[in-house]
Amino acid sequence: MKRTTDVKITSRDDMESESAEQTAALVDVGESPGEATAIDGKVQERLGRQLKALYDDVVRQPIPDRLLSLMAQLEEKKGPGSV
Amino acid sequence: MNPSSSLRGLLIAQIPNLRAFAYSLCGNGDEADDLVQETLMRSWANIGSFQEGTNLRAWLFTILRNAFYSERRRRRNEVDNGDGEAELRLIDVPRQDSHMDFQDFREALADLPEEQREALILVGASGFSYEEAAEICGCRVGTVKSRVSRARKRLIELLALENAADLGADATSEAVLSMAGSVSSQFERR
Repeated sequence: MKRTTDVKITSRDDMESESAEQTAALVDVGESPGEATAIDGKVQERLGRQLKALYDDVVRQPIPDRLLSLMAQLEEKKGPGSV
Repeated sequence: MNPSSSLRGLLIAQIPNLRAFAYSLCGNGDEADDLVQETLMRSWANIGSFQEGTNLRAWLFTILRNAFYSERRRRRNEVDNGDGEAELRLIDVPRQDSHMDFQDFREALADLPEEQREALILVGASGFSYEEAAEICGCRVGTVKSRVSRARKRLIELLALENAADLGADATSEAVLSMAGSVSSQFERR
């Protein structure tokens, strides 16, 4: 598997806007709402960013040829819905 | 427009996300791509059961997840009758040339109970709502919420983030480094 070492650094900035929603989703699930502190928020934001960076590292990889040719084969040999 | 061409395009557009979710389930690149391949074949064959206007990505994720768990059940049955290797593969974490901090995060993530990791990924990385994640996992919304919440707490514990949060960057990496030993020993025990 091909991975770049600078993933975390390069993702940090462009993650800010992209993953704001997901990060927020992670932050607001405290079991007791009053429990969250500013530090919790920061920590969770960082967790969210790391999680998203790890995931997006795979999302950004090119689609493997074998999957593209599979799609071409499916279309050629049988229409959608046929088994 | 040829309808199958557009379906092909729609499915291809989802491949990067399907691969990322598959990686998070398998922890192994080749298996993840096998799983995506199986998902594409199943979805092509069963596209008739997809309801237009509903979320294609959620539908595909559900198929992928079902394919993963049925494949694993099949393997477990094989293990019962044969070699004991399959179980180990499931917690295989890619280790090569990752940034140190990133690697710790990866290991901590691998240490989470499976259903918590899955919920966290769906909501925190794939961008699904709690409702969509619940549908994908076949459980209640409240269950997803509590799994995400527990996953988050466990990650914070594993990475010793609570104390590290208000310290400088150097202290943070020290704290993370000091945790690394215990994290990997827990990891190896499993």
